[in-house]
Amino acid sequence: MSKKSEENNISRRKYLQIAGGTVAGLVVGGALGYVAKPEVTVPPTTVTSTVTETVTGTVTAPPTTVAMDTGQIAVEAAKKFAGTHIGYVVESGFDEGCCKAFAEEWNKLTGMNVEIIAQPTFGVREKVITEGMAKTGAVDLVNTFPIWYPDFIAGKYIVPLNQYIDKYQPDMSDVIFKDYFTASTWQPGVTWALPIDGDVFMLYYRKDIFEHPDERKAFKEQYGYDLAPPETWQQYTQIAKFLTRKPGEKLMGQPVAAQFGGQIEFRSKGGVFWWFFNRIGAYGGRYFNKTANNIDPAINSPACIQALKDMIECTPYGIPEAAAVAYAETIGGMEAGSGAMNIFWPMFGPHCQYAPGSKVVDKIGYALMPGVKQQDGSILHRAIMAAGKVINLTSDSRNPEAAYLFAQWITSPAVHQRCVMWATPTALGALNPVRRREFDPAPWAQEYNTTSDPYNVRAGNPTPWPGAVDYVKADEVNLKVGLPDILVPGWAEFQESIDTELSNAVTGKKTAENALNDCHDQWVKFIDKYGKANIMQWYLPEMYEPGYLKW
Amino acid sequence: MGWIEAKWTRRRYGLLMVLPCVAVLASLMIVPLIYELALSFHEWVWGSGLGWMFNWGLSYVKVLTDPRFSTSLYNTLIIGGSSLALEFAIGFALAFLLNREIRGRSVLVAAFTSPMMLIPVMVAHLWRIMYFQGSGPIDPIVKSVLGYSILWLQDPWASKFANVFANTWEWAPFTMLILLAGFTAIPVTLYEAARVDGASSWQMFTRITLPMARPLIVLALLIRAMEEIKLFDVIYLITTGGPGTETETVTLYIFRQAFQFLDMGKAAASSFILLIIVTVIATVSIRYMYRP
Repeated sequence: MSKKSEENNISRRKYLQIAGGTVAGLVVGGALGYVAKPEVTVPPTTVTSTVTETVTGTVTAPPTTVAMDTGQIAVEAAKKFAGTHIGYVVESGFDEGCCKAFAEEWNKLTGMNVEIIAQPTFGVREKVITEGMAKTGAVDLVNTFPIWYPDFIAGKYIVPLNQYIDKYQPDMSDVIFKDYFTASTWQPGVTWALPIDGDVFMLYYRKDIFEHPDERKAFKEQYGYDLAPPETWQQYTQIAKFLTRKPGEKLMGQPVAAQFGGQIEFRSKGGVFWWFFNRIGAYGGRYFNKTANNIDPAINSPACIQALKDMIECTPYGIPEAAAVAYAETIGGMEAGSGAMNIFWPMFGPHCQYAPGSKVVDKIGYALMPGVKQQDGSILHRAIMAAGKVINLTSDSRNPEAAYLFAQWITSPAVHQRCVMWATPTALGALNPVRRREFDPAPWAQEYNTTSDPYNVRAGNPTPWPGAVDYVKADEVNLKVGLPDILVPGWAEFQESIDTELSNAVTGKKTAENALNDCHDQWVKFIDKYGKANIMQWYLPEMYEPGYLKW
Repeated sequence: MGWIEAKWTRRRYGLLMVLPCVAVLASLMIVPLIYELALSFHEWVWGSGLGWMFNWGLSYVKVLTDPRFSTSLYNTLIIGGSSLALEFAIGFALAFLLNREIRGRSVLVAAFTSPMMLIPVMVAHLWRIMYFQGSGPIDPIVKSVLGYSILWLQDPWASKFANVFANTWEWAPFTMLILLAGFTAIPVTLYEAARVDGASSWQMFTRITLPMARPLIVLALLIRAMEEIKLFDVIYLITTGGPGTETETVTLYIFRQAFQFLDMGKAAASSFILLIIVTVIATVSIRYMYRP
């Protein structure tokens, strides 16, 4: 080696010294940064002052001043947590507007900082799990579906609320299906959540079309009974077929420019399973057959196959490409005046009335879900309680008591009454009644038969909603025949499987039998994957029988 | 500093300066890769309350024997391959046409590249509205030409090409830009010399343009091929992988395993299988790019 190259080469020792020093510096710097990061201060959990106000009465007048109830108790108790930040995950587009407005109200009342973190519907679950696994503490509260209980409880992502319920005594005296919503059905005495949204599918129909004399006369001549909201699924198909009109054909005496759908139900992959579940209950279908020692999918039973066949038969009586109708088409299409009947969540009621550009204002009627005639001549009606929401406290919340107090407030009688009546043009509420008193027509009439917005839930929008009382009555009757959603560990795989096979059946790729038989075979594998004992623990056949859930 | 100047060359000094950056990049790329490789040999379902369970690579067997995975590979080949071919054909044609001095060339280039500037979510929603038979403008046009409607969102094959056309509309301009850069870099003197020698347009195209632009052609194809394999947002929003599983690509399959079913072991295994496929494609392409 030349002298010059020797001079240019560094010695191995020097290189190792410098490289080692650099890496050591990085490690030490990183460790110092981690140790020195600011700690989140946890407010004291010991109550140092006693709440002395008592509940003085019920709300009978427009609540410009909210009467003292368990909500107000929560407000007073929360003032000591002023400045505390709470992360509250909600469903974007549906809960978001309503929850944001009430979070702002709470922040003004208490000085706390409840921040709404909106996530897509099924992204809420992933958000809770990822944040919970990383123990970030970013999420304190979350609006979840009861079907996620098996995942969340097994993974310890949520905590029971008993200690706070014992302390602050929320009013849950008239919550419907309380044990189901709070998961006490599976763990008696343990309350995992406060119910916030009583979802159920409802039947919506165009009153103006159903009451039109020309349509009524023609229908009676063809089918021999009066045109009215269908009592059975067979009538539903007949009415859908009758009211479907091609371009140029007349509807209510006027030619239609584009194809008008007798029904405009969701049929696309990515949700069609709920519309199928909505039918199977009335046919006598169930998700599983369970015995003392075994559980087997029942999704391919004759009842379920018949339900799917009827669903397929009805599908073409809609707008073009009816088998691809998804959220945008089912909501937008009905509000554009392109459909005669629809089946959707309760939020659709205020949405049709108050959505900007809605062409069906004051034209929508609300009815009980069709059923199936039984052998004794009676009609069995069932409606799927699709999703439904409860408010959970996460296990890594840094401020659990403060977070709980917000949850108690927003689910308290007076506040939640306003939540479920929320209908502002840009924040169409999707929180639905979950207390018996919330089905009382009086507040709905008081609010929506006026132009003055006494409950302050319409952002001052003067448009009345004469159908509001009928709407809440229909919500009640559908909930009373509610069929709970499928609730087992690994529900996502069960749901994706049935969703895919239903899409195959609805688009004609498979017959109803083949689709449901294939689904059955896949579900058998999932039962093995998630553990038969685990599935059997969560699946309670009696819960799906009519009348089991206590109103 | 005397001893440093004596001992260090500029090269080694530079190496030392980039060492921290290399360490950070390695930790962001190598460490997650090793983590995922390890995960692919374990069973782990989020939300089960159970931790990692070593399964001797059984996840790979489950993935490779899952008919839905092979369907997703097939769908990726059809949708991705068709998109790639169309994007290249359209991008090449546009680049060729714009590779001359014409009035308003820069305006035309800007106009053609505008779809690329839109976010994929918006593109997907836009095309879904256009495809929908009841309300979109595509059906009347198709009906007037073919005499019948196409069920873009319902039919198994039409739904695949619904995604192909939406994706092509957005990304053909990207291919156009790369190829245009390649064409404009070819020295004009080569064409002049060829013209003097009596070469025809076709001969100039095949003997000068294509060979000179080959590295960029291969680069454009390689980049777009990688992106087609990763295609997710447009498909998820237009057809959600349906009807059935007709438009479920590999990326959507992995997404479902990871974020819907929370089966992280299977998701990691399927990701590694995809990585192997992508590495093979990239290796072959790069070798071809640099072939003399």
